[in-house]
Amino acid sequence: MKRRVYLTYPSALVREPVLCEMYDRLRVRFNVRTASVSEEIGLIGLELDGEPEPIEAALAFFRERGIRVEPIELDVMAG
Amino acid sequence: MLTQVAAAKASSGTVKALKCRECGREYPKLALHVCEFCFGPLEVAYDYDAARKLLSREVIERRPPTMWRYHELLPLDLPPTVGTQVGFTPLVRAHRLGARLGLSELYIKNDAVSYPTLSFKDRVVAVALSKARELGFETVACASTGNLANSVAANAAAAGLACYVFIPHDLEQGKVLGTLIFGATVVSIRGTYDEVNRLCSEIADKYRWGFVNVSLRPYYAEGSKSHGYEIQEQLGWRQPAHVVVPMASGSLLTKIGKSFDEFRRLGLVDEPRRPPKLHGAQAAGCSPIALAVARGQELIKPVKTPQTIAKSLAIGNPADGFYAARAIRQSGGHAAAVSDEEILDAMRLLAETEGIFTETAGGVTLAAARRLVAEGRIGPDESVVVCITGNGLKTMEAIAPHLGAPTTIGPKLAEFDQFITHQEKI
Repeated sequence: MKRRVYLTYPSALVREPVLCEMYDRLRVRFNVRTASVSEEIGLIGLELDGEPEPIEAALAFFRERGIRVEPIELDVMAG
Repeated sequence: MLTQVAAAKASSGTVKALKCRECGREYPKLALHVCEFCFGPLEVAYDYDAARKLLSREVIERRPPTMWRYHELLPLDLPPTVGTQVGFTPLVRAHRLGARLGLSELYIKNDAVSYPTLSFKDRVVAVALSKARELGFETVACASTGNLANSVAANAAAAGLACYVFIPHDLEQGKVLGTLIFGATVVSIRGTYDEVNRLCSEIADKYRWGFVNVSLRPYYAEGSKSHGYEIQEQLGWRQPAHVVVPMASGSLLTKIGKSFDEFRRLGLVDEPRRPPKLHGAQAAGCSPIALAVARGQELIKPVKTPQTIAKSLAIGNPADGFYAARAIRQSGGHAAAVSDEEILDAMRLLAETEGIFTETAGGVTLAAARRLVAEGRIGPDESVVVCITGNGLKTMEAIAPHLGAPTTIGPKLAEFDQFITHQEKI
């Protein structure tokens, strides 16, 4: 299966190789589709490819590192 | 019922394709919402040469007073089947409110009286559900805290479509009732703000329904343009110098901007001295777009826990935030983030000067307009349109504690005389 998410990095993590660390640990294949980084925030559009369980582990890994993980639709709840 | 592919082929001529806002790749007119290559949002692309041959002021003026009088610029391939009476709400020349704000030419575009559910969401839902039918969907859905839920449930009921509505578990009972009454299946989700959003996205991905604000989003969002078309026609085929728009996802502001661009491009309006300045309004308790504009930043910093009485605008990570901020900057406009106190004051001011009872989002918009005037960003003799998008009857719990209570008297004329005498002394 494939999961498409946006990762939002806080400024403290912008210089950290978090994607590489995730792959080293969990071996979930990923593909960066879009990225934008400023001094204050980093945004990456990422596609993860694999079985559901490792993908969930990868998403949990990002969250534990302090990265905001969201579906590519961002907030779908409307007023 | 047409299949998706058959409907996509049955083009009326003006609606070309879906197109990625980022990389420009084109897609067929199906239930798609993001680019497979870059994740950019998809938007409807039109053949404006074809539209120019079909549209003139006279042609439009001869049509019934609904949003569909501009149908060549809305994303249907077949005539609308849902919400056929929606639109053409009043544009009110607000003399008394203008005097209070120091503005000589102020207008209120009043979607608080939109048919059938008293908010501008009726426009986007009319388009989304008509498209859902074109594409062969028999079940529609949405994730909403209020106005969208009401409108999807009501219009789905009228259209005979099955309807699922997803809401946060802590929503006020009044808002839940306003959806349940239409027979929709309402699913209340326990969880944090982020968890609720994430689950709704996953449901939309797994269950291939016509999810109006996810899979049908490119079509749904286009319905907002009708609010802008009507402003221009009702102003006598001209554009205002300024328009002040509430921002939740940011989509409404970008679409009003698009409606101005399209009417200029098609020669339907008198050429303005300069294009209108688009101003965005948010509540201070959830103002990711306004903050990005104020700081001159490209990226939108999400708000983790929105906190404001303007719940219909409390979207922490708005899908169109980047595009709204860019549209504001490019137009020379600005954004304002206003406090809950300013919101309540503005609701009362609008009601007391113009007889219009708006919901908290309308309070945000008027309070932002007030701020922009005070900051000198809107001049006293420039034309201004304030977009009021919802009805105050839907957010009574926010304003009720600030209105006091009626005076109670006994059934005797003497008591009323006494009351009047007291009033006159005050």
